[in-house]
Amino acid sequence: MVNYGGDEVSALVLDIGTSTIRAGYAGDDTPKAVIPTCYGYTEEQGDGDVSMEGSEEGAQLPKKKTTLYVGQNGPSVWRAGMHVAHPVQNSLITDFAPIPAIVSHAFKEVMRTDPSEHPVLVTEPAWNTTENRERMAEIMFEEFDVPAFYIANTGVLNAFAAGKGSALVIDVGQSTASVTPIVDGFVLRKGLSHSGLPQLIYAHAKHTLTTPQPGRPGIQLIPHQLIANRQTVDATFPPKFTLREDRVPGVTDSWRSWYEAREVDEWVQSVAGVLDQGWNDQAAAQRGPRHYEFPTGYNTYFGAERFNVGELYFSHTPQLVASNPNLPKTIPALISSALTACDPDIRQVLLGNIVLTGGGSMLSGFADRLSAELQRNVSHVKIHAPGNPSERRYGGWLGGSILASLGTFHQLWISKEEWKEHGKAIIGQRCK
Amino acid sequence: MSSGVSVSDDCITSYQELMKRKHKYVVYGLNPTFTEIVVLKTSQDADYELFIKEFPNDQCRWAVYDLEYEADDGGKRNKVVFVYWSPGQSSIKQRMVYSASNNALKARLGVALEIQGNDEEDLEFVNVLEKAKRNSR
Repeated sequence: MVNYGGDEVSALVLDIGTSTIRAGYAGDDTPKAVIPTCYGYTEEQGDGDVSMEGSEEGAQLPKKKTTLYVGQNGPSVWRAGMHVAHPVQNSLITDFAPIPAIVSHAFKEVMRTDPSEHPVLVTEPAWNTTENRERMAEIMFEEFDVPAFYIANTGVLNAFAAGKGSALVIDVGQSTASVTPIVDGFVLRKGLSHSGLPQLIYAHAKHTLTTPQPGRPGIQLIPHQLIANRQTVDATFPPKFTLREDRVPGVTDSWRSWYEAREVDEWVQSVAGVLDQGWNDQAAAQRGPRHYEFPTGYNTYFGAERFNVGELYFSHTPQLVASNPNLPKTIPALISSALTACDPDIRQVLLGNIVLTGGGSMLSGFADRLSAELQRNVSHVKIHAPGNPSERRYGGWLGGSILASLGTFHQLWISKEEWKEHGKAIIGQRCK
Repeated sequence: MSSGVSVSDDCITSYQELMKRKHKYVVYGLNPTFTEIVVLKTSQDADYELFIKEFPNDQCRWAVYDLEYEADDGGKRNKVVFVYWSPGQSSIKQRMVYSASNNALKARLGVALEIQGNDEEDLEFVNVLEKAKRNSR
């Protein structure tokens, strides 16, 4: 057991998602740093000096003549020839190389703190691999020299934060939707089910926007960084804007798709919705349209199509299924495969204790629709959906923040000394 | 994952007393500094409706209750029910710490049947009775 001076110690909490990294002090209600997980990079041609443009954000990967641009001024700032890469896919870190630079940016540049002086609690998805969590421990101990480390499961954190030892946690993130059965504080692995459903929603929304629809042309998704000026136009009128022609040649495909993903995501978040009682053409038409303006100045009202997008979380049309045999599972399908794997007695407990979390679940009508879908088949369903947006969006981070702030949690931390003595094996023993 | 919160010896003593029919129910909670689980109340009152009044709508609690009921064969049965109460109006910090300490208390007491209560409906007598009967089979 290690002593860090009683309650004086302030641990750091790090929650790495597919779209953003959340970092902050244990005991706080919200993370201090929320930065993009993806990063920009440029590669040097020839053997000239390595560029350190924007030196504060720029950090170098050793052995490669590559400059990284991370944080709020990373991918979102246009730079000639800058590519964008995504080190986290489906909530799993797939490329560890840039992780130290990104985490360092969050801790040192944004939070202005020195991680070598604070225990660090990191969160992980239920389907994280042993190699991944051990690698994370290694990075924290070896590269950040942290005095202590712990890795906690986001599903369990969300269940606990909802006041439940047993729960069915439905987490709708940027790239993955997951259903995690938790019994007495432990993940029931056989029931864990997840799919890339949010990616289908994204693809569908992008297709809807960029292809001509009755009453409007296909919409151009042009980054504001490439627009020199624009004029205000009335809704549905063609946009009037001037491109920054000088920048166009320096645009890479990966930067453009990063931008498009962001714009589409923003459109989904501000315009899309879910019909709370199931699909119905009339109900979709009756809901008021919503206005959205793109960086080109083009703006219009979106009617039924905004519900088409959200509907994909819950049902797929026969045509869609026929055209794509590998469709990711819908939310109801994920729930039913999770429940099928559990004993009937546990099923009832889980259905009475559903916890809804993740930014994607905040689409208007989502919780009501989920409840309607489930009540069609089961008699006793209860859904806990935090009304507070930051609680829903950062549920995992917040749970970790509370846990890591406890004086009594000290006995669970893995200290640097223990890491040195026992190595990787201690991670699996301590963090269950 | 646990909170590291400890269980005071009083919790176990009072539970053993309940098993000897000295109490009808015992209410537990975290001390104000969130370091230890302590006994908040013991009672000999058998009235279930009084028992559920022990659970405030904005505070988490634990309790054990010696449930007496008539089995389907007409015989009298006793079942100790462990209740974890964490209502939606309690603070997220309370919910988090209580949830992360739940296993420690359950393990120290050695209870078999847990009722997870997040609202009053979860603790209604019929629901608890049904779970107790199912658990005794």
